[in-house]
Amino acid sequence: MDFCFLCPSLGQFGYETGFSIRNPFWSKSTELDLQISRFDEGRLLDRQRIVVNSDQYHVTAWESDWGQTYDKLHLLVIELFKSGSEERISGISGMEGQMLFRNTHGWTSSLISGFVPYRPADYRFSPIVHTAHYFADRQTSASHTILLNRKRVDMATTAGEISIGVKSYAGKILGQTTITMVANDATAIALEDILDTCNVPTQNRDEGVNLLFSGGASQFSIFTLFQNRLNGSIGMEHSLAPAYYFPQMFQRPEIRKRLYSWLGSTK
Amino acid sequence: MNIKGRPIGHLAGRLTVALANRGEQLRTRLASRFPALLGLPFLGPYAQLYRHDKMFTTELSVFNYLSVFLPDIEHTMTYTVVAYSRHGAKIGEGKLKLSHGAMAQVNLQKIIPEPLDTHGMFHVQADTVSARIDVTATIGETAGQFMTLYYPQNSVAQAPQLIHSHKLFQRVPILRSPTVRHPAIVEHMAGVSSLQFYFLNTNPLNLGATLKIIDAATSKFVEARTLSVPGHGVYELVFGHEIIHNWPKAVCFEYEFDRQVSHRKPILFRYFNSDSVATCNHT
Repeated sequence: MDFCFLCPSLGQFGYETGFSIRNPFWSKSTELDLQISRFDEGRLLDRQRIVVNSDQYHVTAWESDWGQTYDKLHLLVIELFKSGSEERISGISGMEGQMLFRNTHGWTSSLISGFVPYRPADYRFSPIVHTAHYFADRQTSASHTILLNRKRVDMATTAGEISIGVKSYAGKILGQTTITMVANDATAIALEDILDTCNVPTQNRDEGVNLLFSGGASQFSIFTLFQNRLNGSIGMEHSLAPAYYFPQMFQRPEIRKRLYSWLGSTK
Repeated sequence: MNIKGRPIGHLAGRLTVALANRGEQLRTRLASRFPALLGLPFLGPYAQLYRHDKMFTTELSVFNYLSVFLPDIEHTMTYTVVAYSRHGAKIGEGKLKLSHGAMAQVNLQKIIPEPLDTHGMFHVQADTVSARIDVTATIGETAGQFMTLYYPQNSVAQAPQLIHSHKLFQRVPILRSPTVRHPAIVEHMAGVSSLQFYFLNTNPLNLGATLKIIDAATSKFVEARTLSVPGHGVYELVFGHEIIHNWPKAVCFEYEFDRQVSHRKPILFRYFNSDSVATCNHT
């Protein structure tokens, strides 16, 4: 199976993005190419390769090292190839990479995440389910949910519709909206935009709300990002996929099916 | 002498890890089979670092996850939270009750009645009252995962930091079973004014650990620190500017642990701007 590392380019938030990967061929006299592809609303904007020598223990690259920075949110896809070839590096299941973000103050944030598998063209994804639970709408920090979608270019060009439900801290339904994502794209959803769209009253915002994302059966990576409104500093973490809560989903398909069928009920 | 490439001296330690895991599997399987008698099977408790100092306070973020995936069955979930001092002494415990569909983001000090230490470990165990315990049991064991927010004491100065949590708190002592971890992280030292590591010991026995600092470009050894973390305690290791300004431009880390505790990813806070801004992640 082939793997890739998905990373958001955070130009929209005032950050240059980079990544760091431990060289799996360190001291093994094999060179590899890191291929970096930048997607903007489904369109391949740029593709570059970096040669990694076997004497490089770790490799780090920033956007300004291989190309240019943008003031938009983009999807970056990092893939490993045998140097000078189209042959992908295999056997990297479980490999982790580090995404890096730095701003003009020189403040750096970082996040470790795993490589994700490319599924076969006929693979049937389950809908994503993500709860951005209990965002207290604080005056000093903005909250965003960042969705990254990756599909192979030979697959459909839409990532599907995603429903976003808003609930109060006590579980009362406050509103619902829908977004459509194109494939191979990054989308940042501002909490306040969703609350405005759904006309959520101020009192509910102050008490805290919960967003429930569902739909878009495709390959997603999802992150929560807090940004300080005054100085732009950020805090970021990847989401907890449903399998974190229901570990049997991995081993027992009948439980996975049962859970998703319940999710489809309307109560 | 080695068995399958591993020293025979580690056998007892590895055996305790295997036995503890097997015992947990047995407990959850029995609970799935006899939920009315033994209660629904929940994994856990899950442990994480708290800070309660000049820079950060800690907030716990949870939601009633059973009500998302089983919306037709009424569930009231209870999260039991226990806090420890940095030395591993139990400070106190509290409960958070969530009705069907509810969620909460609560300061840890509002859940734990006793005063928290400046830092330490806390753990969270989920439980539920289900209107259809027989049906809920059919999905097998579930895990009360949560997000931890390190909320800045001066919220004007920086964004909250957040980290997920899925390392089991261990009640069974893990015997000596040395292990080495090479995290994927590289620290870029430009602009960093200090680094602060938190080593969590999820196990009741004392944990010996060594942190090696390595030049990320050349793999050359830079320096090392050896430390001892009390059972269920937390060790704070700080590298001030006077130390890190001698380091290479980018460094990576290697951890050696003398036993296989579940939490082998120390939490790292890096400081900028004369220590007024921090970012954090697990390593």
